Amino acid sequence: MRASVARALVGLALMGCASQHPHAAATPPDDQQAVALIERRCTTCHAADRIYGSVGTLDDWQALVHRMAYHHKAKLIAHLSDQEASQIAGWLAAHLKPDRTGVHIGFQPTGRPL
Amino acid sequence: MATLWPLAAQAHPIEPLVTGAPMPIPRDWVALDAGYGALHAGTATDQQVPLSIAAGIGGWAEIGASTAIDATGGAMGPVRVGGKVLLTMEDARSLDLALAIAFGSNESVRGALLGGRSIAPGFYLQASASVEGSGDASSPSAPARGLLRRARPLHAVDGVAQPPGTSLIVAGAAALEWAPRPCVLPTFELQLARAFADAGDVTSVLLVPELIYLLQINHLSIKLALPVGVAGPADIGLLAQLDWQR
Repeated sequence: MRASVARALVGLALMGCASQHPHAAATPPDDQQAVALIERRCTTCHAADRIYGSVGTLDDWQALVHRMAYHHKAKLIAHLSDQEASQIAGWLAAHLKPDRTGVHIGFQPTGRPL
Repeated sequence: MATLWPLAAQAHPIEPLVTGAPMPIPRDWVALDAGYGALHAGTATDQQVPLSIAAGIGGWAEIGASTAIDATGGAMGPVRVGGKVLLTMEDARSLDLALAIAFGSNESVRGALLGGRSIAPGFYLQASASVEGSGDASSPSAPARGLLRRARPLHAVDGVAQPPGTSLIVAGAAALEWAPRPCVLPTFELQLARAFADAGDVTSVLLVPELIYLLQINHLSIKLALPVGVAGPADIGLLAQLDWQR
């Protein structure tokens, strides 16, 4: 019950951001769907370890997924759709938060291309 | 191979050879490119080896330098230095838009506007418009030599012979990339160009089927293209290029 409420709150929070960023997730997918989606789209270009070893805020993840989709052309190479990009960004933001151990994907800490 | 290269340096592994792409190379990355181009016109065939180096700035710009070896004449071409700035990056509602400029040691300057947009997952459409002015009015020895004689930053080939006294070349190009598989990008390009010269203007139309193969996604690619002259002096050509960035 508590998990369902938390999931609903995360979903509502992400929906609230939808008007601010094109990749804001309306409804984060469940874990199986999200992992399958990440495997299908993101690992076309790089290892999944790089994703799961990183943490970031919702803005960080949205910016990163946006850049992967459009700068690195995952829309072309990995056939990533806008809806899938939103789902991935939302799920990562909900599960790989800055309070976890990992490489922060923000601009300054890693210098990694967004 | 006249001067209608799309940018100061084109380093993105998925960047089409002729049209170029608006996207600069990623932040803090460098890129090296080497190629080979041959173009047949009439009874002459000219060959060129373009080389370039570029660096990404902040993910929104790049700077680069390039030259080309005239393999037919055995001479080094002029050095070009320039850059590209991304004005807007594509999202769900907008498009990639970039401005590029390059200066050549042969007293030339070239500006280009580049745009692109993902039209569906697996498809990317891009176009460019460019203008080049040159103070170097030395006459090429043959039309085909004129096609190849001047250095381009890289990737591009075009069919505009450069008649004596040419001072302005205007070109437009478009490319449709398709990725049926992540590493394989069949690409189709079309280029229209016109050179304005004292001795008479020259118009060129090239169709360029191309295959881009990503040996390592985001890092290493090989490109092969067969430019076919529909109008103008060029008959047929071959372009090959290896692009690396990291």
